[in-house]
Amino acid sequence: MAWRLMRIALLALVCQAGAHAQSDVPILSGGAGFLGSTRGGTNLFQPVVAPVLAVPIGDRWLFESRADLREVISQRAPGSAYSTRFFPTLEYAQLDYNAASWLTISVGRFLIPFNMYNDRFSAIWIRNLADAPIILPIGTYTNGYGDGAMLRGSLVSTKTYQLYYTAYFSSLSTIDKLESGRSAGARAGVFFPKIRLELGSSYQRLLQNQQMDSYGAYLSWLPYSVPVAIRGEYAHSPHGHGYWLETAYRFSRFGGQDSLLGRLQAVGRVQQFFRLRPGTGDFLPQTDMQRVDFGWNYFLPHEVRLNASYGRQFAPTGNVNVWDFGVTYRFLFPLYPGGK
Amino acid sequence: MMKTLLAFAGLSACLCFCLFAAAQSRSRPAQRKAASSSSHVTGEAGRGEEVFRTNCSRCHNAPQELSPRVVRAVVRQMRVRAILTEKDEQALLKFLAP
Ligand code: HEC
Repeated sequence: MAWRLMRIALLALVCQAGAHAQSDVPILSGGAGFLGSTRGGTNLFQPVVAPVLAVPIGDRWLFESRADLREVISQRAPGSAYSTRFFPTLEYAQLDYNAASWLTISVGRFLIPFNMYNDRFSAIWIRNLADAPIILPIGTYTNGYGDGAMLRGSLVSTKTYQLYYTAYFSSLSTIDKLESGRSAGARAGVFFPKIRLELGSSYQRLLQNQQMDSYGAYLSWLPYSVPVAIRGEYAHSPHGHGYWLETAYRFSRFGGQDSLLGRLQAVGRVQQFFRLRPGTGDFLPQTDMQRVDFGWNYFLPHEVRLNASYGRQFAPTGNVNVWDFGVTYRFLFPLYPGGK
Repeated sequence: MMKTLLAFAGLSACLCFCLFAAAQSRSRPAQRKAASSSSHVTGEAGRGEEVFRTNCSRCHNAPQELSPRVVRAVVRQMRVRAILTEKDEQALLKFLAP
């Protein structure tokens, strides 16, 4: 029912946008990929398509949405038979009203803006390593998606620094495919454009059966002088806390981005998680956990990327090797052709 | 013990990356200068290029190409994420779809 309503609303939106302004053509972008992983000898394969729709309406409105459609082909134990399941997820579907650069109001379903991983790097064609960080469930509880309203904007913007904020409220939803938790949260960050350094912090208050506060901080640095990206996050909740730190180096110094070697990127990440209180259903590991990952990404022409990585995970319950490999493709089309 | 050691090794690897990269950058100052002065775009489009270089690279690689037809919708979708002011947005549009 919810799906049908949404499809009708979407169709109406696209038509309306089309009628409105010839220059603001709606776009369909996103990614597709095939992901494979071997975790302690157990295999998992996932063909994924994640379409992103953006429909500008007039000068101030925008409808944007992303879905994740994946087939999960998995084994229970090393050597056992494969089972297959299809998982469609509506990741966000929001209507944005841009009142001013300091205020954009969004309503609908959105990615919970806690720290930076969930709303920036959850797309499979954007993240540098296939596996999400261990601490991702902290602050994005319950499932990373919120149904409600969100405010965002730029508070101060000068040549040396830019201050921005995000605040949201999400209600509890048990509607099939639109599940979300009841929570409220905020995030504020500062970006220094001259050195491309960004620092921020986040807060989430869970407003369900148990009230739980989570805090986080993040950092991202992309120096101009070196093709390196350094990013990290710390997150704390009553159930546990931890951090990840990632460095990615693109070999573009060797003949430019499009040279044989320049298309290569090396990525390393370290993570630690510390359990503070036993808890089930919080999507966090039951024990302390450490993990190191090392991987390669190769950016082929036409927005195709190959990736392969190796990770080792340490926990009192046993250490495992995780191998990931995959190919992703990123696309972007106008929704209707022609025009200028 | 083993864990700490490996975590440490990982961290050192990260650091080595940075150092290696930093050394690389120092050995090529001339080339860098050339790259930054190669753009002769000035005025609003110049400012737009700067916005693109600083704010659009925060989360992902710039797309290899952007047809003028999709630029407006792309910028509409990305403006809040990229903390653009109205001025930045206009400048960026001038740069991406002159
Ligand atoms: C805060 C993070 C962030 C910033 C800053 C940002 N983007 Fe994006 N961009 C994303 C994410 C995430 C997606 C994937 C689609 C989605 O999830 O909505 C995306 C998608 C895109 C796409 C569609 C193709 C693709 O790769 O998915 C284009 C084109 C794009 N961005 C251009 C830009 C431009 C131009 C700017 C600068 C004005 C910019 N982006 C700044 C996060 C960002």
